[in-house]
Amino acid sequence: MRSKRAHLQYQLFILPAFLLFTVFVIAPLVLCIFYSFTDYSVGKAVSFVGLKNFGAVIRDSMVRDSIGFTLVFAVVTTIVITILALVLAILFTKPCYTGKLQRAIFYFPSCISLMVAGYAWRNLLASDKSGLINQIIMRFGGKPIQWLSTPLGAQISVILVAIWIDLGWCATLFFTYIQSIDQDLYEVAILEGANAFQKAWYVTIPMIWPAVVVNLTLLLSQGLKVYEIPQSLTQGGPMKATYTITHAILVRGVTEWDFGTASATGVVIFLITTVLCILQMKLAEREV
Amino acid sequence: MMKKIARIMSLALVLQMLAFTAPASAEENKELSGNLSILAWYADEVAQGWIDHFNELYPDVKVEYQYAQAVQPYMEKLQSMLLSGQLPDIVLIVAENRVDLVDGDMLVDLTETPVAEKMSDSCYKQVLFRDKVYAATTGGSIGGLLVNMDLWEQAGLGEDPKTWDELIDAMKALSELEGITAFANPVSDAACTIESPLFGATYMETEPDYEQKIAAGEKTYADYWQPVFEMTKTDIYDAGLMPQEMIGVPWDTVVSNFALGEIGMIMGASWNFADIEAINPDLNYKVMGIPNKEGTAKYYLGDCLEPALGILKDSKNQENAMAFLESLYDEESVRSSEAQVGLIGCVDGYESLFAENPVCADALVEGMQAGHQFMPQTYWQKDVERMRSTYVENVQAMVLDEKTPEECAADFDAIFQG
Repeated sequence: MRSKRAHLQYQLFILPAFLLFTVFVIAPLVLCIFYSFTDYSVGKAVSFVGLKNFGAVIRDSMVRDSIGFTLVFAVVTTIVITILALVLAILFTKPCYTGKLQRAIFYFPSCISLMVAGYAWRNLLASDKSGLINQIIMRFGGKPIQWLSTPLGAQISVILVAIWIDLGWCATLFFTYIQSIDQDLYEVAILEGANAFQKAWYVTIPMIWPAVVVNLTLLLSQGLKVYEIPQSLTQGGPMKATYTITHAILVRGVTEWDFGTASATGVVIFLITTVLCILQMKLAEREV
Repeated sequence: MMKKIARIMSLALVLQMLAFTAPASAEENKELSGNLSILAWYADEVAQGWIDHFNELYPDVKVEYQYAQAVQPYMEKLQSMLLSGQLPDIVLIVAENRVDLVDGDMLVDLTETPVAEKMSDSCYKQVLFRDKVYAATTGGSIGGLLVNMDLWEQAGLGEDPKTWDELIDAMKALSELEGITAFANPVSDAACTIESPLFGATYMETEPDYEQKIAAGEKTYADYWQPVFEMTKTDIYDAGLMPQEMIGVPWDTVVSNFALGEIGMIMGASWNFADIEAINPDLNYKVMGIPNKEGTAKYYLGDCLEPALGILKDSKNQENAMAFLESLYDEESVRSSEAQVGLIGCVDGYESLFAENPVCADALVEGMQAGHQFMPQTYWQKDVERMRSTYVENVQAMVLDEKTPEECAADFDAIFQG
């Protein structure tokens, strides 16, 4: 009887959160799926169009290309940031007078708005001699690099800026986990003759693996939703080379008022994200 | 006693005079009351000038102004208001939303109203859409080639170019000056690329109905756009007059480099004047038009009709909205627009503050007043946003030598044929 009452209490406690989640997540998702089968737009009667919108999404080169770049962006940033953050977090643990300052410097980019960061880097990475990075390269005798004026250069620039923004935050997360590792484990490893790499590989990484899994999930889902950085850095160009999925949905939905196609694009992205997250979770479980 | 009588008589006279003068408008306007809501992307100070004047005429109307940043946030807000039924009475009509609003039968037709009658011929011509007027506009901006006249003289150049070839020769002469980039085209902004006024100069005098010919199947977009794209690609991009790396330079940096005398000419408009003069108040520059190959016409940048405000059909306060649009044509409102944001007034009988500005005086006469401004978005009849983004993408592709003019022009037809 008591357990039943407790059960009821728990359900009552989660009710507000459940209602909010339903209104702001479940309901829009269901509506999005519904609209993806219609020609819904402002000022028009809604009619059912079957799979037409999904056909349009598959044929739409802008959507295809934006999915391609978004996947590359998400995968590359997730892997590179995680690896570099692990290395950085291990370096943070080395005793150093300026340790706190170093951590603060690396953490700082994650405090800036993504749009502001993008606009700042747009000037630093300007493709001509006015860009600060190119000025440094030219000072050392190099030639200016067309960071933002070629499709490949712009894609690399967007990825580099995203890495710059998230690296410090992830490294700090790993660093806090490393701090909680029992030092006896390292002493045992040293007695066993482990070098620095082996200590990291056999002690540090397995002990902070839950943090790595959380980090991978966050980075991947964040990467699949990326918009602010390419928008502020390159405006999706040149030649739409840095258009992301969010760009595609906004263009088709908000700008062109074609909610049916935009919703279908959203559903496709939802499916891709779900598959990627399940794969990632399975992979993470196996590693543990 | 006589003094008292004289005072009373004077007072009566004054009251009588007041009854014949100011109250004429008050009597006319007193029946308007209630609310009026406006959604646009102008800063509050700009809109306040119009609202203050409107409230002088109609003190009983409470005006609620809602601001949304251009362009995407504005479009989002407008959409959410339309979908939720919370309709503003007046909305800003731009190339990005005009077709959808008209196709959705959401706008009041202003063609037969005093609003359309008050519009200058130039504005009327540009704001006309499918033979109807849906937006009230009092002028806008003027743009074209912003030319550094000191560099122009250093390069040994004299009069404004009369033909396209003369313009290209001028760019070549500027490029020979040491450390000077001849020309910069804002390839991320379809409203401002050199291709648009060149298209206008090439076709709008002889075939202003070119869109109708395309719609009727007599011609294709490629017939019109390919020659224009060939001219800019061959003469400017392939000739290196605008280096490829300019695509990757933020446009505000380009404008400041122009102000600092590092670029000979850029595409720009009156909205750039304040920035340029803040960086270099002594810069000697002016706005030039883009001539066609034969030298028979010269066009300036379009998309300059602002404010372009329309009334939603389902709005609750249409009478107030109509009165507001009419009040925009009064000198007080037009002058306020000019002073606040540099929107140049182009209303019959109104003397613009910009008319004496040496930077744009010629452009005002040749471009805005003559109606020689062109922006393709204004003329496209369907899939405007898709056409616009393809246009931007293809101009960038031509600069990077990734596409031929033929391919770029054919893309318009592919979109049109859907």
